[in-house]
Amino acid sequence: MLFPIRCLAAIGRFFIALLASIGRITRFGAMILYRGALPPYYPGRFFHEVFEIGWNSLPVVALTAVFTGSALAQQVYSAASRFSAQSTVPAAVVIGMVRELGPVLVGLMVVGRVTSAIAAELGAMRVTEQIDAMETLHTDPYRYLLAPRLYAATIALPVLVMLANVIGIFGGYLLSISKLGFNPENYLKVTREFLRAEDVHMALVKAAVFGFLMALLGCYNGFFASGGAAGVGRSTTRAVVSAFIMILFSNLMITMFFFG
Amino acid sequence: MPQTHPLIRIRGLKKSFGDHAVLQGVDLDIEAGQSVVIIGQSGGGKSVLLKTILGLIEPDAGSIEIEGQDIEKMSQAQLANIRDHIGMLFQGGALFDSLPVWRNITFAITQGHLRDTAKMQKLASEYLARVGLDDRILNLRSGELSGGMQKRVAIARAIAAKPEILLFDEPTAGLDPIRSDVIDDLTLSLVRDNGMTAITITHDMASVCKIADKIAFLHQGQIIWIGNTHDLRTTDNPYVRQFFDRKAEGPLH
Repeated sequence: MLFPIRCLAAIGRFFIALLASIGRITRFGAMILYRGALPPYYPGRFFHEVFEIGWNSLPVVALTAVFTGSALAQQVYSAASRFSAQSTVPAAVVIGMVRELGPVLVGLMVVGRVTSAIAAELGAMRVTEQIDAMETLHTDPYRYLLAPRLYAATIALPVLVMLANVIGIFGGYLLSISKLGFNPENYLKVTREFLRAEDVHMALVKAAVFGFLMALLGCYNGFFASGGAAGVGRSTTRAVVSAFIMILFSNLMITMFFFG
Repeated sequence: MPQTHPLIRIRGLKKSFGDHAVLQGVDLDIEAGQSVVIIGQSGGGKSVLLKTILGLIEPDAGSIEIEGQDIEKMSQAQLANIRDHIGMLFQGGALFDSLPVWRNITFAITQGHLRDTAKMQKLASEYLARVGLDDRILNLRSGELSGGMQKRVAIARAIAAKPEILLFDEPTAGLDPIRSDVIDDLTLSLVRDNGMTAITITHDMASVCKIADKIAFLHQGQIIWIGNTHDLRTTDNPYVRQFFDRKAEGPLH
């Protein structure tokens, strides 16, 4: 076969495999939502996951937000100084944090913590036959293991992002007041003026979508892991990388939907 | 005359993983209240057979009927209903390592919920006693138990839901002869006194001779020999003979 034909065939195979994967993951997600909506419910498992995903992610999210907000204020200040527009710092910090940096950075940080943990735990349960055992013990793993994680991540992420936004804006405020010579009252006034409800809505939508995707990809890769410890490692890596890509891709899609 | 069905009827069961054909047409009948032992070489598909009976692995061909119903034609809900009557001991125990021993044992009863703690702990203690363990391990997690203890806790978990059919995958592997005998006595008691049906996979010939009503030899994906313990001791089938006599020389390698 000619080289260009072989290249085309390889590209075709790649896209067919990609579409097949998207189809399998979509079906898996629909199955979790469907079975999770039916009794028996596991509220204890749900609140445990909210604590694990939300509360335990708070330190890393807070640190990320405060450093990012401060760095953003410094960057905008030094760039705006070139054309004497330093007064735009509060507006740039609030818009930058709420629309983009808050949701995306929190999403990526939580993927590192949560998606990897979900994939590794479920993968270990799969290869040690614990998931098979659960099916034989009158308990549906979709309801007991998967649905609480999916619902908890979808609900916890918006809360984390809102907190990160507040902390990030506060970080920018602190640096601007202490180092860049801004008037505190004026800074807060400009921040309030530039923050719009639609920015907050978009941040919440992004966060919920990111939470859903990161839990779904962690669950999918862990639940279907195979091949012992090495297989669990591969599944975890695949879950984290695919969640990173999906968060960045869905961020672009949502931004275009709101502002395109 | 009414036609009687075996409790489990397996016909022409085939399963491959990639190019590796594991089951190549298994036929087996299991009557209610029988203790059936499946023997055969390691990697011969015995565990796959048990998981296929349970519906955890989908066969490529053939049928499995439980109480006259083909599990291949069942919905997920019907399959879950059938599984409610089956208790399974997995080869590695498969205890939930995030839960203490007592919650593992009562998992099927509570369906994973945390409730009636005192009552469930008492119940778990009773099942631990049946497998020769005391209640000091109730609050330990599987990582804190020895391999043999994990196996016995897993047996306690399998029988706690009072199933009608027991599937035991190497219940005495990793146990000393005395503990093995406790498990054999328990299996016999469950079959003889409680009317359960047991299907056991084991390489322990002493166990086979003690607990089996019927023995099936699985070789190269097919049941090539069926008999009772007397037949096992006297058979001239070269494969079964070599396996029972534990000899390296012979047709099996």
